[in-house]
Amino acid sequence: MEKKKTGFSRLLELAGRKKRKLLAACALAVISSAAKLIPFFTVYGVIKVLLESYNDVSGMDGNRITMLSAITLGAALLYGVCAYASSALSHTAAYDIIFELRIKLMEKLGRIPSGFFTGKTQGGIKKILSDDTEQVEIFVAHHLCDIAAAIATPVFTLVYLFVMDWRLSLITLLPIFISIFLLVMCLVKPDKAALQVEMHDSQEAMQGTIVQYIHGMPVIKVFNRSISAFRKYESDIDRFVTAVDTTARANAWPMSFYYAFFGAQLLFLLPASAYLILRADSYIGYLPVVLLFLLVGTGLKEPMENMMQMVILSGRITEGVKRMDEILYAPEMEYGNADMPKTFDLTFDHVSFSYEEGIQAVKELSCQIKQGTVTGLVGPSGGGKSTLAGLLLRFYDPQSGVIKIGDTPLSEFPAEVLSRMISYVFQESFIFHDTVENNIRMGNKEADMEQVIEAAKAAEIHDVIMALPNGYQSVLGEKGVYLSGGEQQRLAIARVFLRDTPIVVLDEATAYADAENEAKIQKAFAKLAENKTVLIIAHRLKTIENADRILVMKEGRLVGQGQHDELLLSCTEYKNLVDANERRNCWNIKRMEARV
Amino acid sequence: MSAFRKWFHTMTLGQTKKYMKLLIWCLFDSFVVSIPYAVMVMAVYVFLIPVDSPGTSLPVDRVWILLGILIAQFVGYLFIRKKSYLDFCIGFAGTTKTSRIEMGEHLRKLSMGFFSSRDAGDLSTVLLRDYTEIETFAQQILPQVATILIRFSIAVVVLSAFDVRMMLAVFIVIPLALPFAVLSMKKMEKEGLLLQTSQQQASSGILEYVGGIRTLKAFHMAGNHFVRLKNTLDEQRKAAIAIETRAAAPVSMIGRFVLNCGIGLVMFVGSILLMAGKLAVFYYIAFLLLTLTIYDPVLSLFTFIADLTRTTRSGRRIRDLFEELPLPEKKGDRKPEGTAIELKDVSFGYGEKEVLHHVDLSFPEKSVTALVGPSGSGKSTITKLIARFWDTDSGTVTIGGVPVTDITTEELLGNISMVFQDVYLFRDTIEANIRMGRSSATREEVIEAAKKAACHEFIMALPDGYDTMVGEGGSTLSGGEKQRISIARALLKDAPVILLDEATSSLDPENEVMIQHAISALVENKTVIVIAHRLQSISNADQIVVLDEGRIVEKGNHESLLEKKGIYAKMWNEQNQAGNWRINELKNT
Repeated sequence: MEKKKTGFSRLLELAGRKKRKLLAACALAVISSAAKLIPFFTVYGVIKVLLESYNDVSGMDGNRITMLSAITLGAALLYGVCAYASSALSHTAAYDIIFELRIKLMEKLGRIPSGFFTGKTQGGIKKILSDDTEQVEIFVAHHLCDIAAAIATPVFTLVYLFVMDWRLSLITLLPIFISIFLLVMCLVKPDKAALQVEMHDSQEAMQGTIVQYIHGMPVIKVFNRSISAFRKYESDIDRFVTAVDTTARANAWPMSFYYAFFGAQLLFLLPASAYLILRADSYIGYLPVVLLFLLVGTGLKEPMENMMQMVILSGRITEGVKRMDEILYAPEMEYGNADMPKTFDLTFDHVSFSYEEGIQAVKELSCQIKQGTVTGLVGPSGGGKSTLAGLLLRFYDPQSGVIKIGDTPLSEFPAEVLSRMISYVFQESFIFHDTVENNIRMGNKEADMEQVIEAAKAAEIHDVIMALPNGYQSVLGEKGVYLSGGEQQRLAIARVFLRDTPIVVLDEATAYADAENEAKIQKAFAKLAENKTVLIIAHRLKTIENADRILVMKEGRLVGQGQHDELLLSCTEYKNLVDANERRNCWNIKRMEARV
Repeated sequence: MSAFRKWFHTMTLGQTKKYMKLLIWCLFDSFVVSIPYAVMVMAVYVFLIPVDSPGTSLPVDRVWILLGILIAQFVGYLFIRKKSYLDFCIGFAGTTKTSRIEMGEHLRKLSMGFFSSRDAGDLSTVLLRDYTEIETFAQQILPQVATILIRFSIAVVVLSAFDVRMMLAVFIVIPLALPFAVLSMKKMEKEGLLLQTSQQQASSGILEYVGGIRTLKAFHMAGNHFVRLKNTLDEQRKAAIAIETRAAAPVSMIGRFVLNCGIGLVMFVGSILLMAGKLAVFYYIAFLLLTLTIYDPVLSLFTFIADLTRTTRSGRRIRDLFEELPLPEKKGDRKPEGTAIELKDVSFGYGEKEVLHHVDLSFPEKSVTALVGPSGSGKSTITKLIARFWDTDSGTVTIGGVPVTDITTEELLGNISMVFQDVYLFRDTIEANIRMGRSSATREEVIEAAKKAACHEFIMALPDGYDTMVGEGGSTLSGGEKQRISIARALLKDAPVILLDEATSSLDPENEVMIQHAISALVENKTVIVIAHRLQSISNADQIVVLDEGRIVEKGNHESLLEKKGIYAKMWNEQNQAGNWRINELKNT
């Protein structure tokens, strides 16, 4: 298995996907920053010319100055062109990388077990796909080349300066070394590090409070707690600002030394230059060198400051990349390449599954479901019904035990074959922002229009569709084109009709209101169940009273199986459920005695 | 000018004066930072003296003077920088803090309707990200602007004293480059719009993909098969590249090129003037030295201009939020007498679409009224108008004879308990979450309420009982448990009016029976308005109101409505049938 890189080296690894483009971009960035330095040297050249004929301007080498001016102009052009080319290349590379990453993430999301999504919000995953990936752009398109340039520029300059005069170069570097030393000292000290931690913690607390303040505002208002909630809000913001304040005050002196030294090249250069030039062999001979250092020494401050800034900024990006990698490196499901089996009997053999370690959602469950029968699955919520259905659909794999269709374990089927054998009507149907036709056609891409309509009719949704402004071509979710919850579910049933799989898992929806819809859905359900192997998760016990077999689940175990009448006698759990159901159904908001 | 002032007001979070103070200090700071540059030019002059007049040697005393200036600058700057540093860290954090707190206070006063119509996630983005954006922007742009202003004014003053023609050569490139920067900004804005649309598409596409991943998987369409999203992402990629390679970069690069030509220009013009004897050598050198560092801050400013649109948008969102008006509150302290509620000729709409039309309805004190009807018929709008989420467009809502607009929000909400379907739990202990109902409640009272709401047992089964922390949004409790916690809150509050939205999604029967118990405890002796979905549970309500498309179509008690054989009777029969439905019926017959 490849080693997983993190932090800065992971960023480089991501950038490595467009190695050539980015190397070229960095090279161009370095050239452009070198071109930007050229004026320093042409000015130096001009000064040299001037010194040669300082007191006799008429004898000056005017052509050389013209040439140096031309070089300076050329350097400006080179700078502009290279900087543009570098930025164009690096941005193209960056957006290509992001695009590829997003596609990769999308594909990956399709392959990892759905269990991965429990405990994560859709918003959170969306953020990873759209925002966190975007951060890669900042690094690849900006930081990478900027870092190359920010390192190259001072290095070039320093190398050149060393060649000119090593003593003065050291003097130039001295204040910068002092600055960096001070900065590091400041950050490393334990009490300062503690301040950083407090700043980070208080910032998190503040952000959490702000989010709660807003999300919980309706509750806060209803209970007239807005003053006290506001006080907490205020005090958490206050705590953060106080932390910033303390940290800033603690760092104020070292930081001001840092900045002061960073700009203090001349303070060191001036006396050193005076000292050296007075001892030089020839005053006029050494003068250009002194002038060059005075010039560049003062100009070195900004590129060096930029470099420091870059190093600090890159550290922040790695957070987002880490979240992205969590998806990219998540373990995948493995699929075999078995063919469709001859029979569709379902077998659960000692199946156990847990979402979290220690809490088993399904425990050692064994049972068989014969082809062509209707099986009801009932039990209290949290009893493991949905998990069992999820296991059958391979949203997750059991930690132990095996599930088989025919004689073949689920994991040996390719995903495609599996999806042709089993279809699932979810409790909440997901409708895509697309035409009605395409939404139904998800079930079967090759189906012709007649088949689509037939499926819609079977799902009792055809009339509703025809009443939409553009019939089957109406785009759902667009202005005015809206389906109620029950209608959405019928649309989802139409998909399954079109899919026509031998096994169907139905999750009886609980979340719709009007009875007319309900009746239609039930009718569609019944049609769908004809001649198929059906597993139905029932919330209303009446629904499955006539099922060929009823499975009763509680706390992850199968506590009873059989037909309604048998279970009433043999299974206390089932009897309790039926009783509770009766009581629920005759509950009244107003107690009877109140009306007497 | 006033447009600029408004913009500046927005970007400084309304604390213009404080920002001006910070800006002036920044100017001073950059002035002091610039001193070494001036000293450098003087040093060059001093070093040239022996060349200028042969025979003299380097005037060491003057070098000492310059060194003295540098030392003084260094020491002085230490103190100046210390204040600047504190200003930067604390000053800006302080302005953000002030504005954030103002915003918190402002949000607190906005109506419930505002919160139910706005996405809470968007609102918190404003409070978190937009503020940070503005803060960073101010921290970066102010010193930049200050540096530019100082360097320029010094350069203009000093250089024009030397030679006006040369000064023109230095500055001519700036007006030449400026149009490119402006053009770049304009183009960015235009292309930015394109990018924005494709970004929005991509982002809703991604959300759809993540939300529908199970469905897609079930139909084997996940991953590459979802072509549409792939195309959208590709479009976004193209738009983003276009903005960089076609809009922003080329234009601003030409600007940069033009700016950097300045040095060559000065060099060339200077040499001609020099040879014509119209410029002293030292002045020439001084000009060359100064042009080297004068253009960099202008370049930085160019880049900041590009970010300007984005930051301005953040500022505008903050301003917009401040401009949301709370519902008008009358000063009078009229207290409702009793809890009879009455709607008189009430019409109301969200935006343009009216959802309630001339509704007249009264809810007698301590009676139970059920609102039934298809979704979108206006049931929940009625309850929300009673709690004054919004004000009616016409007609009045009164509680105890007093219009809700004449009652203070505290008084009004103090009289009402709402139990809605979505329950928000705070990241706090269970006890604190229940205590939301009444902060002064004793622990015993909290437990008492929890017992009545059928919460006590599951709470005691949690690792720390009542002291167990519940997660953000209360994610560690099941839906039914959250419902019961919210009922416990309401029980603790013990308000005389109860607005109840019966859960549409049924839980397992046992869980539901417990919730039903809790509700029974809650509504005893109260004025109750319930949005009902299951007719059975409200069949003995004192009053059943059937709504359709914003109008009352039937009203009465269960028996009288059944006799009418209208909509209610039809719904009742359908529900009974659906409730008795059995799968396999076709098979067995």
